[in-house]
Amino acid sequence: MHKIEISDVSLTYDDDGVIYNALDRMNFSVEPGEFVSIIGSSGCGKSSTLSILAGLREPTSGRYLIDGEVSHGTGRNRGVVFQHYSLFPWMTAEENIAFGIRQAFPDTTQKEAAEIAREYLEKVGLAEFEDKYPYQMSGGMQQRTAIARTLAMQPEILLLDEPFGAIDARNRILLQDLLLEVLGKEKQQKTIVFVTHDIDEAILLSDRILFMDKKQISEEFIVPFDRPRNREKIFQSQEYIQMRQALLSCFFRGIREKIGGEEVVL
Amino acid sequence: MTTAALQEKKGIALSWSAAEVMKAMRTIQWFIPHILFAALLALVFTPGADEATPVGPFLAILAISEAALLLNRHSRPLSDVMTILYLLFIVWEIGTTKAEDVNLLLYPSPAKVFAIFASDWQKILEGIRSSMYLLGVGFTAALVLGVLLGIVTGSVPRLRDSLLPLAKVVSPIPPIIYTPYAVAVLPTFEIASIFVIFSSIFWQIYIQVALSVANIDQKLLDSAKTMNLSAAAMFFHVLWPYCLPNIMKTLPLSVANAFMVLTAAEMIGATSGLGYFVRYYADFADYTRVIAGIFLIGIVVSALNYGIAELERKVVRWH
Repeated sequence: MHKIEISDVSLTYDDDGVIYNALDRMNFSVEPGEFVSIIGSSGCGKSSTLSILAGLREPTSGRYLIDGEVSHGTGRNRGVVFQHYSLFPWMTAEENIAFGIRQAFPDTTQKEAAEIAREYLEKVGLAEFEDKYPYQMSGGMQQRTAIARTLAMQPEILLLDEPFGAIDARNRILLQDLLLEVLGKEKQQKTIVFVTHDIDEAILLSDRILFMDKKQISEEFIVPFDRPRNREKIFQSQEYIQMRQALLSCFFRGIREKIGGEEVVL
Repeated sequence: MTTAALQEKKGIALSWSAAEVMKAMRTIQWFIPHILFAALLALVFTPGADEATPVGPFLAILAISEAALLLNRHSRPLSDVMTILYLLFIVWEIGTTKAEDVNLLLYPSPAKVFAIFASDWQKILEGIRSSMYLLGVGFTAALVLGVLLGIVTGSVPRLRDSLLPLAKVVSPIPPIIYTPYAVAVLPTFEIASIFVIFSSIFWQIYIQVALSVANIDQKLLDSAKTMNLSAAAMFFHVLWPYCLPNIMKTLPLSVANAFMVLTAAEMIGATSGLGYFVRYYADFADYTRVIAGIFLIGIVVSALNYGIAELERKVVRWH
């Protein structure tokens, strides 16, 4: 049975009488424990897809199944990390995580939650930042805290919406490695859907890459590299170069169609 | 003498004179309020028109402000404030006790006004207690209801679109206008003034909170939703802290408004309180006590605002 199944899902917005089609009969599935990236140029509908997976929006038509059952609304089985503003500004790093834990597991005492929160902060390398408020932390540290909070709530499915999109190149690499490392240490294998527009990030992190175009999945790539992965080795391999080329041509096909096909001379 | 030695000497001479000018200016500035203080003391002890009043309370006030100045001797603003204050006191002291043919009933000396604080302290405390009680009840009710209804209104689009326009019509009516009617209609003066204080603060907080909640960052809301927060957690851990900084920012203004309304109400129908104190003695042409009452209200409002600023510093730590 698929962990996630999206079948014939369409999503239309009614923006003051103007009907806008965000997703058009989209189909895909994710297996238990699989790391799937959704990639595509901006406006292709990848964030709409994630908001449906998160339960923030209901599909206009089609079915969204988790473990074979129709899913409505948000749920404790899923955890989401957004690009911005995931953390509550009025809580310290530790309080943010402990608050998440107490929401997911109401029986946890304040003290236990604080202890678990510190454990997770240590896992993401922020052991000394427990008392910092989000405004006192860099974007990278905030995202690490957000990841720690989502993991501490122990969802089966992890949804990441361009979590490193606003982070500079060097810290991005550090965070990608950290994400792989932390996920490797989790007891239960998470099912992950990762939205990005960065080809290298998608290849490095995922088992499978779904390319989105025209409001549906247009191509699928299986990433052949074994885990744990070594960034340098992968980037030098022939498979990587070919896959990167194929993904790039997916992007460019979309762009060429948008600006008028073959006639355009660049 | 070698050129080097000459240059050195010249350099020293130059920097020395510049530094000296700076230092002298600073010393003079530092001394100004203290010189004024000494002048004020001399004036108080010089025989004048008002010899009957005990000068103790006035001297005590002066001693306290001088001590505060000496304790914070590096604070330029405090030094300037005290300079102005001492100048005002000197003008007041000379104008009332040292000038000729001054009507001391209309223009009481500072010593006389401050003596009231010593002689009438029980009445003053009772007045503060009574005013603070009315203010406290009205204020708390307005805060609790304003935040509660504001959050509900702000988070339900239909309520927001219908209630906010109404609130914007009702809220600009100055609550002082209700006072005579409220005093006439409501069973006791106490209830009437609590009602008027309540309505002077409620709208401000209600509209502020409703607008804050209505404009909350969608991303923050999405993040909260994906964490499956209970309604209570959403209210107490997301919406309430989200509004808190804005509420704290409007509080000083709200308190000032409420105080204005309160003292006005007390002047109309109360039998105790700070506004009553002023009006009661104005009826007897006891302007010494009237001025003391005005000073007292200034002190109480300042203390309240100081308390609010401290509270804000303690409560809002995430900015």
